[in-house]
Amino acid sequence: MRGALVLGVLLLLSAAVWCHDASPPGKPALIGCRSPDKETFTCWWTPGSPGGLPTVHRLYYHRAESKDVRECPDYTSGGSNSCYFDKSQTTLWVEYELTVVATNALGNATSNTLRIDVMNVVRPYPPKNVVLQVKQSNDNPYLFIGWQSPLNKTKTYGWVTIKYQLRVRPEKSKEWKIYDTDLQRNFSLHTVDPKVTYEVEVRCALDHSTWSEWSTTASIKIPGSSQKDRLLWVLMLVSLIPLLTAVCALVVKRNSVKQCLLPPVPGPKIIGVDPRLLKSGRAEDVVSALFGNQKLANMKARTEETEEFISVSDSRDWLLPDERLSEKVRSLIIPNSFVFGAKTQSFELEKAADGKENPVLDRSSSRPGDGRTPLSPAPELQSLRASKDAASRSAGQCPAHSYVDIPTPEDCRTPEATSDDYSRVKGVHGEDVLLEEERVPPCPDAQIQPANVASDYSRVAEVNSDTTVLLQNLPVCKERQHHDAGWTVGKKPEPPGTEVSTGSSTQLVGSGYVDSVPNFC
Amino acid sequence: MMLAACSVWLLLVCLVLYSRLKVAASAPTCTNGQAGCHVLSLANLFDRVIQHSARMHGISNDLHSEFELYFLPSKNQIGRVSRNCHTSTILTPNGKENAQRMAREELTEVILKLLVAWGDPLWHFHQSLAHNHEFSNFSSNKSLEMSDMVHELRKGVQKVIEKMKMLGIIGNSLGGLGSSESLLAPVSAEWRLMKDYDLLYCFRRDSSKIQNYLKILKCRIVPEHGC
Repeated sequence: MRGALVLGVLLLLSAAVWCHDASPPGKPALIGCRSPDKETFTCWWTPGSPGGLPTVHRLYYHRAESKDVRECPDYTSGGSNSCYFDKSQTTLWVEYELTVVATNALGNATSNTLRIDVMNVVRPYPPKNVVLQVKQSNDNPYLFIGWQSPLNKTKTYGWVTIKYQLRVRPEKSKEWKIYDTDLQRNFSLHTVDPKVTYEVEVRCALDHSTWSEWSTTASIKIPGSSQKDRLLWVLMLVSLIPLLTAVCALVVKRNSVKQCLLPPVPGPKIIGVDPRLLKSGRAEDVVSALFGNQKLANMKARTEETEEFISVSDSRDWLLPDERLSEKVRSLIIPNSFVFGAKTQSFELEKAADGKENPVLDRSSSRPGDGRTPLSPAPELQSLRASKDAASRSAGQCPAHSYVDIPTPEDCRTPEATSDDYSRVKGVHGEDVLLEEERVPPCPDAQIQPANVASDYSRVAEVNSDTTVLLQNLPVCKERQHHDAGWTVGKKPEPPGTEVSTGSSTQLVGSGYVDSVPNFC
Repeated sequence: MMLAACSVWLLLVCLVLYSRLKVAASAPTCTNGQAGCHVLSLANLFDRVIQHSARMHGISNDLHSEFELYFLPSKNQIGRVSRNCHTSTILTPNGKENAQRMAREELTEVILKLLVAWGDPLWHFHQSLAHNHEFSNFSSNKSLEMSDMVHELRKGVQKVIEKMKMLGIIGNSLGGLGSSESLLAPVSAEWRLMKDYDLLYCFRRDSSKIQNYLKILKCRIVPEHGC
């Protein structure tokens, strides 16, 4: 008994549950209708809540003036939950009343009734195939926009007139600019800026219908002023060509150009000395450079040559113009100096080897390339320098501050040509050179010692003998006296092999004046 | 001598006048004798008339939307009585095919009937709007414009009919101005019963019909690209 009751209750419950799952369908709702071409139209609805059972939706309609209810002729062409009315079913300027009924096993549900006049629901679809092109007009770019009608038919028999509208905006802007094109299916926009991307959308309307949706956005980038850019590049290239050819010419003929712009200054060259060997800095190289065999041969030749000129006479023959004299003097002095120089240089070299790296012939000059070497005057070499200077000075050329004969036509003023650093050559006895201590330097300011030619000469007092000339004593500067007296003060020690005499007798060198500071030029 | 001078002067005057006439003749006014010129002017006439009808329909559309906004918040109500426009008695083709199948004369007559039927009602409608202070000046101006346009359009269509008759495109069966009164009489009473909104609704529909019929008529009579 109780069991049967329980069973019955259970059955009822299960039935209730079962019944709860399945129910009559929910009420569908008609959304609306749309006619894209004034000849057909489609209506859509949304189904109501599903009843759990398979539901069928049916659309019924009738025209306003007739009572004839008909069912939808086409449920598929318009998509799901739609009804499509073709040409034969469509009547314009007549009101339709539409209803949708949802039916399932348990019941049915009727939607709201929709009254429409097809002419009032005309709304075309958006235009198709929007095409963007950038074209040129007198070197100015413009945007050409083209599209196609949404209707497939081209012949409308005057029934349909589509008008179009488009909107354009630069990519980053938020505001659209709208243009009406009426019946045209293309449009040219001239107000475009280069290097900007533009977005374009088009829509249409049939006569006075509602506007369609905007078409899909088409975008395009206007290229930069290509014509102008091209012209600029062409001009640049054209202007570069002569430049390039000039550069090429320069490179090819760089040597001659170099010759033209920077004429080579003949470097100092000791005859028989290879400067490259000296530069290397190695002792053996320097020695070989200085004391090459061929040089010795030259030396010998020269010494022979000069044998003739060693004897100094007091004849008028010696009163020669400077050039000839200079030659003679030079020839006289050079080999001697060379010999001397060889000795002294060797000494100097030894000295140099101790202290500095660079040998005597230090090329560091204030005026590069001219071969001048402002050498720190070493006392042991001062005589040599003096003799050289004399020759050069009388030759009318500038004194060289090196131990080589540099025929440089340069200014004779040399700050280094301190007269106090030089002593007169008294005479040559074999390998020894007798120096005259006495000199008449100018009395300049403390540091500046311009090479005053006149003051470097002393007047001949009397000619003693064939080999002696007495000079007048000229006032000597105190400074110089200091220098003279202790010309080793603050200077290097006197070199060996040099005879320093403090006498006033000197050798007759040339004209009435003896160059107290003989400068070689 | 004097005679010669006079004749020369006369000749000059004649020449000047003739040249003037020629210039005047080159202006787009066609004489009756030229057939090509007629066709061109008919097309022009049709274009003007169609443009006019389009404008008229636009205004009626605007007015109707305005009324709908203010006086009828809910659309498509079941309870609404189906409208009976006073022009329902006029048989009109309800589609493109129907309109194309119709005879030219018939179609033209339909257009004319519609235009005639709406002349008076629209005028009275404007009057009621103008006197009623509920409506804005904008609406009142529009209704006046609409009323004027109907009259203008009617005149234009009548001109087109005359031209077509002259060209022999349509027969003389179509009634002239005189028939307008006969058309008007049977429907004159009914429109007074219509409410303003219904009147606007009806006119919007009829103006659309007029516009479309004129377009089809033009394509049939003056064929051109796109027809």
